[in-house]
Amino acid sequence: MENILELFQISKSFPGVQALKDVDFFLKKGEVHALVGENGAGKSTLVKIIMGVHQPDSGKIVLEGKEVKILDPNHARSLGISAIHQELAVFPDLTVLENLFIGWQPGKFGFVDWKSMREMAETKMKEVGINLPLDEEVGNLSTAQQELVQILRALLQNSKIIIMDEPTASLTADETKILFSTIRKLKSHGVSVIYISHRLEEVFEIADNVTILRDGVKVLDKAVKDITPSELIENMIGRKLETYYPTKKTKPGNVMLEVKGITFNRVLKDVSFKAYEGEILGISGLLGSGRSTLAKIIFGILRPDNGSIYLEGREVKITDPMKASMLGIAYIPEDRHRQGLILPETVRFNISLPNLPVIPRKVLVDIAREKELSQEMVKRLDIRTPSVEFLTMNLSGGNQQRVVLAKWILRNSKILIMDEPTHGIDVGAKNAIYHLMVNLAEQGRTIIFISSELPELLGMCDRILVMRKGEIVGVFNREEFSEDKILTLAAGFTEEEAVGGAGG
Amino acid sequence: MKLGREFTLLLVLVVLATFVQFVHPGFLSFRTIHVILENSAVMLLSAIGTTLVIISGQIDLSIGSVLAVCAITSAQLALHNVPLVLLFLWSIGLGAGLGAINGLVTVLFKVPAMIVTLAAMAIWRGFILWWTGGYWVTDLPDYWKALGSTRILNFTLPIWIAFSIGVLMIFLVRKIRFFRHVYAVGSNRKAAKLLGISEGRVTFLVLTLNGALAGSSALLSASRFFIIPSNIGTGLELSAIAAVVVGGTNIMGGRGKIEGTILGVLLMTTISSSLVFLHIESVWDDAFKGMIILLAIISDVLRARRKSEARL
Repeated sequence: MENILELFQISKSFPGVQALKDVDFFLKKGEVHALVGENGAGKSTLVKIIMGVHQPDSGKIVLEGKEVKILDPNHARSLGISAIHQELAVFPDLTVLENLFIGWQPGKFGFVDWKSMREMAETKMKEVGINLPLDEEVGNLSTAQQELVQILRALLQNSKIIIMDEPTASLTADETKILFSTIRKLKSHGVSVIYISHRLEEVFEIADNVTILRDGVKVLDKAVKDITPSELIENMIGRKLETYYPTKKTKPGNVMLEVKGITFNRVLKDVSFKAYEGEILGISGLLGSGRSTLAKIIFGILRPDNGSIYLEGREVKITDPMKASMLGIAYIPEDRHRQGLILPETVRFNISLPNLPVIPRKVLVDIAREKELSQEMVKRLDIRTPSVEFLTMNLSGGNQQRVVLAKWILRNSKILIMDEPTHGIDVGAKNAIYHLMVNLAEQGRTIIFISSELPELLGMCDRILVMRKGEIVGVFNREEFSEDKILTLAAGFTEEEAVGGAGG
Repeated sequence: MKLGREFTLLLVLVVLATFVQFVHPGFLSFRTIHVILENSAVMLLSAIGTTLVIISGQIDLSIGSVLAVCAITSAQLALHNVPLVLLFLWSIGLGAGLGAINGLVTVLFKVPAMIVTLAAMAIWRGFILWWTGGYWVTDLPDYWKALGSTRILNFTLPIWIAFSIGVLMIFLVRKIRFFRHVYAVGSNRKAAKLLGISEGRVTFLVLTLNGALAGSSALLSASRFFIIPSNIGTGLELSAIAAVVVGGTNIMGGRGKIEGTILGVLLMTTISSSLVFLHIESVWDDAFKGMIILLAIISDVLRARRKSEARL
């Protein structure tokens, strides 16, 4: 098969960072080519060079046998290169049809030709087997359908190369299936896909070839069928993978937190459990099982209708998050972008924010002290940032997550509630987070670990609570861990439910 | 669903008119209806401009003052017998110019238009008070009022002009590429940028257009009288925003329809006239408008919340 896109010896540096060094990348016609690497390995820089967002310092780009200079995203699009963006580039208030054509509507003299737009969209949908309601507002579509809108838009613009950056990050398993079958159809139409994902199992499922980047250098490019998962991971992180899940050396101690009979709206029903000092307590359950609501109640964001919370044996009234953090409870939310960080602020600012009560003695913030403490945290958590004055929005996902953690560790929180802490970050960063969690537990802190990924709960936790429809339906000790049992319990249909059951 | 807001507005309009007619027969006379249409005509063009500004994700508070500057200066030109056609060009051109200044400052300094136009509102109002010394423009020539009093099929020219432009805009907003970009920018700024749509260009042009429409409103409004008070147009921005929001345009940008705004304007002016008929003191007029803005916004927010909850 011929190469549609060839990148030779691409180098790019930014002030203080060599983002790419002599990277070669070859994309064949009609293939799915996975681009993998840890955060900061240079994937996004490479993609941005292909999209014309950045210009390489050196190297050359050959598109269909001709050397090209890609000036900007519009130019890339006219050359047949499109990107499906991680943060969805759709207009929620406009219809599907408008979304497909916005920015390049056909028609003369500034007028829009709706009829030919509709015809073009319908023809293309039939051709590639995508089915979308053209008159529906995009905001009413599922995330997967919104991605299909972007893909269809790329196809309508006659894209030959489509770059997909973490397309499954917010998709459910079923939606991922739909996306993959669309990708396969694209392949059969000769479209090439550059596929970026942290979910390595997807790489093995959908990609033909894989290019691995590490620290800005290409370390391997190979057919996916000739590579094993552990070879892939080892090449990504650059070392042998012995202990993916670290072993905790200490055992849980006294009761730290006790929750009794918490009921909330129709979301939680009589939830009771205990968590111990130095314990990693997993909470498993499907989306909507009440996991996050429970976390929010313990952290005081929501007030329960009924029930009580005990901290080290004393009953506490957690009226608001401020009170919770005074009591030594920390909550690291699932959506760290929206809830966990103030993105346009510096690392220093973010780390010190919940710690302001411990930093200053007077009204004014003691900047020097703030700086010193955040530098210490950056070092302890191995946050990769040029300095503590760097804006958090410019950090990679894994490093952002570490900044969120730093905030609460500095606070000396006794209980850390972590909601999907490894969501959307790469293997190496996940591994680092696991080590950190074990480390914190060994210091006697209680960690409540909420996750949809059962393997990591099984690998990390002392006990796992299983939630379904707002109730705790099972508790497993480490000796009794079984993937099957937990999954059936979390999703399953039991006698109780058949008889009375929780509503909603 | 598709008819939703427009249908509700129409219904409210009919119910209200029937109610007032019931309490006070004579409300639904040609005279009252004509007054309502005329008041609507004066507001309509500004409301259409405001609709587009709000859809693009901005707010323009300066239109009342811009209208005042255009109306007063045009009237003063009329005192020198400048022909009507030139007055029109002057008023629209001046309005566009003042709008363009708003746009330029907003885009160049990357400040919300709300702040820029708040300043412009105060500046131009102050200017016009200084310019006129607080005096009204009087003794206007006969041809000045020709525009406002000429009737075709029993309706005065401003009604014909404003409503024709309104109906035309319903189609143009759907058909013209630029207006689709206005929706795109208001709906998802980031995505618009990724697609190469210039937010700055949209903001600038939308504010300029709004100025030009305020300029044309100025003549439609002022040409009904022989006396132009220096406080003409005060509170126009409030009425326009109220009508727009009531008409279903999302105050946060991204969605809205001209047909909704037309109905919104009709409803607001009908309410004002009803207050007169029901002997409710006119001091309540503004309070009413404020409450209606608040109600419309709350209902929008609730709808958005229900929608996001439904998706969970």
